[in-house]
Amino acid sequence: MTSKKRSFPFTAIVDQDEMKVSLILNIVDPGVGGVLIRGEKGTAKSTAVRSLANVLPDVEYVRGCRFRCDPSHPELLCSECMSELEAGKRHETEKGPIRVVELPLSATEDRIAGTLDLEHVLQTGKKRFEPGVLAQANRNILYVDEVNLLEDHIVDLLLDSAAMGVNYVEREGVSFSHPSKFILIGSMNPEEGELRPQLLDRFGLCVDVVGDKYVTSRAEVVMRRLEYDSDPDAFIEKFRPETEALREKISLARKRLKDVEVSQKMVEVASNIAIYFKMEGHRADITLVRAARANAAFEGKDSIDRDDFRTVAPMVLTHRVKKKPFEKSGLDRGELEECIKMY
Amino acid sequence: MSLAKRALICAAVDHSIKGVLIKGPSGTGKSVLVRAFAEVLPERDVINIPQNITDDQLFGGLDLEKAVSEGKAMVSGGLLSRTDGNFVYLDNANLMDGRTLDSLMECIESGKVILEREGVSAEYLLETTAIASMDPSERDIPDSIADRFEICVNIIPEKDFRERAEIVRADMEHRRDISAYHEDYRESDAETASIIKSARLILPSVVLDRDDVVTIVKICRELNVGGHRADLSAAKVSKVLAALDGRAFVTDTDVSDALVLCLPHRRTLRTREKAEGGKVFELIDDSAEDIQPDTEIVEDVPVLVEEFDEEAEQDQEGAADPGPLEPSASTGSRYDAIFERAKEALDEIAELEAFRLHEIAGIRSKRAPLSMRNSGRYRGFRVPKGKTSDPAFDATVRAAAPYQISRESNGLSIKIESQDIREKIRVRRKSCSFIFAVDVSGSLVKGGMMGIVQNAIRSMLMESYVKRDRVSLVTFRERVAEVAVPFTRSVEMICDTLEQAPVGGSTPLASAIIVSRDYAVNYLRKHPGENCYIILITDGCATTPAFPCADAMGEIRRIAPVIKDPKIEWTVINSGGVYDVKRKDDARKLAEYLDARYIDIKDLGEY
Repeated sequence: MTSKKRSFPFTAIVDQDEMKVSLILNIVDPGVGGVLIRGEKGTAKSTAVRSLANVLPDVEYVRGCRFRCDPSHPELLCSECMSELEAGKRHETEKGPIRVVELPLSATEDRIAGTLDLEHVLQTGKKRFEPGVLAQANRNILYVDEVNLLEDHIVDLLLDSAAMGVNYVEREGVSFSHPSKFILIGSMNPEEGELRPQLLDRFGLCVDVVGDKYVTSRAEVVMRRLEYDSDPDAFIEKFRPETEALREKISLARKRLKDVEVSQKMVEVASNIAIYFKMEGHRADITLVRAARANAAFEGKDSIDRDDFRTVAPMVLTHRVKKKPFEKSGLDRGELEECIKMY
Repeated sequence: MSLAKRALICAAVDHSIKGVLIKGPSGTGKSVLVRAFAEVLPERDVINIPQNITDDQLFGGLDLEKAVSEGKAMVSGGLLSRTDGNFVYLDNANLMDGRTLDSLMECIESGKVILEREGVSAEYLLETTAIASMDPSERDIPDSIADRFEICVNIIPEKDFRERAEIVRADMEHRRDISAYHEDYRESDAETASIIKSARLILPSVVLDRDDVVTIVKICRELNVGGHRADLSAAKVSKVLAALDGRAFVTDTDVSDALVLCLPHRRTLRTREKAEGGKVFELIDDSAEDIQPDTEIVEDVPVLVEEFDEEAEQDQEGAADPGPLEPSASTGSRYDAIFERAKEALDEIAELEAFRLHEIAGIRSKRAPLSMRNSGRYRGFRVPKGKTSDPAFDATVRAAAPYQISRESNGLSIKIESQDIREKIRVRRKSCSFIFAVDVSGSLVKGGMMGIVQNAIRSMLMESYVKRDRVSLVTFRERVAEVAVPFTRSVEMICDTLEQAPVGGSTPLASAIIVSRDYAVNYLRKHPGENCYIILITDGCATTPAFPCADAMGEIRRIAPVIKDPKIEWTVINSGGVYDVKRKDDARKLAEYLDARYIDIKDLGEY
């Protein structure tokens, strides 16, 4: 399912910094919880997500495993890897980049959750599970374009997996479960309808993209696209140094993530923000800290500070702030700044 | 007609143009044009996609035959897989299921089809261009899908009688002797084909300089068009138009013509409405600054600029060289000329697209509601929770197919087990209910507005007649607001009643709002699941309060929050102000109180 087609370089996307940062933070720390990109038509939402493939770092996984199990986390292994481990076998590993797995709107339930492997049944007489999109998405990025148009029964499937990190399949005489922890990236045009609240809440971050307002930036978008269309390879080559540098930076940030110091004070700042903006539950606080830590790691800092919150708080809060009727966005950035400085 | 032809030729020259949308009333030769176009290009087929196609027929799914006979799960490529390298033709694209059309355009635009259906998974590349046609008197294509078409043209029925006669003659000849007719036209077809071929050769060397791109960007914003696709389409089409003319440089006319081809479907009512009193999209013109080398954005730009400028100069050979000393001044006047030309043509097109009732009421293509009962169009299938009374036979058979070999015979020709059963997902097109609340007080009669109002309502009703919507009429004057015609599908009855309604007197606006609203609430009680749209046609000057109080307008402000209902949407059409500018604000205020859409009757089209 990885895209074999060339894609527009991530680093060649003009401006849209908040969207880019929100995507990068998720790669640095998948625990940030995914991102929902909202914006009008034609604002480079899907181009950005698809181009992520260029800058994704390698991960280590069990060789030959259909779910790309993580050998360093035995508790998250699939049943097959687990039984091998219990039998005393050491897993061989290999490396490969994180992939962007796309969920097409026309997908049917059985192909998302997985189903019975038919040919295996016929050849061996034994039932075997044939993995679906949720299996491919394990430890990868699951991208749903126009996520607000997804059928309800498909959304339910996604929510179940996203909540538990495991996909349970009970159908067609197969009973199977496998790890399915993925970075959920959704994009949508709010004009087409709103997202179900349960699904909205599932996204760690949310950014609203708007078309660029600078003439030169907009012209630059057109110039770059025309150049890409006329000779994609040359264009990709031109941006290769930048792309490689970013890929390296992300990879480094992933390694440094655990060493970034999170002081008690900064955790309190996060909680204070959450309380000020009347967040229900603790998901917002946790996401604030995780995203701030990912941001600090990405910027090469040793500890998180208030600037990290300045960057990430709008993305964490935008979709969680209770809107008053007829208000476009409930988040007042001035208030937020006060809140960060205050504590 | 020539504009539509030109659009198709553009798509034939540049394969990165992925969509051409042709709008025109039925019988204006849209399909004929597309078929004739197919003959010009023998190397590419035009493949027709019927509007009621299902997802598995279109994108592909399980190969039923292989599954039954060999027990193998193989992909059977849908219709779309056969369109690679060809054109697809979507007749009446607006009537297609919105999600299917969206998925289809997404595949065409990204050049890739990802299939995850019914036990098969596949991915294939696709290079094709969509030609879609639609009759604008039916519902419109949602903005976000329309935006995926680079080009949109409106076919206007020929008004000149000689031209019309020519069309009839051509049609008669065509029917009488097809081969002879083709002989006549083959020559011009061959000519078109050779123009396309040479344009393809020139296209890679056509240079579009940065000034042109800046002009395009600015004009798109000036005309309230959002998103980057508009800019990009216009840039691409400018180059193609130059290539078609055999030039390697782009002229101002190319740019303005390209804008006319690329913007009509992107200037929607909503953006026009939002634009009232200002711009929709904020735009900061920093294009003059980037000549200074110390601006931040310039860092990675100069390479492009130099490259393009050099070549442009070579090609233009001094033709209208702006000179580097006064770049902003000369681009300014060029910009104005292009802007004027494009805007004039686009406004003409916009005028043709008179407002439609659904647009006026603000009904945008919301997702069709899933049907509760077993009625509505079969859109897809799912695994039922428990027993189903509405099985999807085709999907059930496909689900069972691969197991046929291994299952024990039960005497039936197809062995179906309970786990195979799929049920239908159905959608029902909601019919809409409109209440027209019409001000027939003295102020309207004085202004001579009554005729205009009647015409406006009649033309709005024509559309609801086609769509089978329910309409009712509330009239108000003196002290009374009353339901003059209860909900009906008879458009004639509304028109007649309105014509015969007594007119003159004061304006009991608050009563009209209360009566309409109560009527709507009652109706909705009996028809849950529906929405009601109230279209208030008035100049907004309330003179008679509903309850004894001094300030009729203040009364409305007070009752407005109380009568809000999520299932009722309000639209205020200002029928005053045409002759009396002072009163214009009253209707606008009214719209604000009611949280309603506001439309000026002048904008409704040709009355």
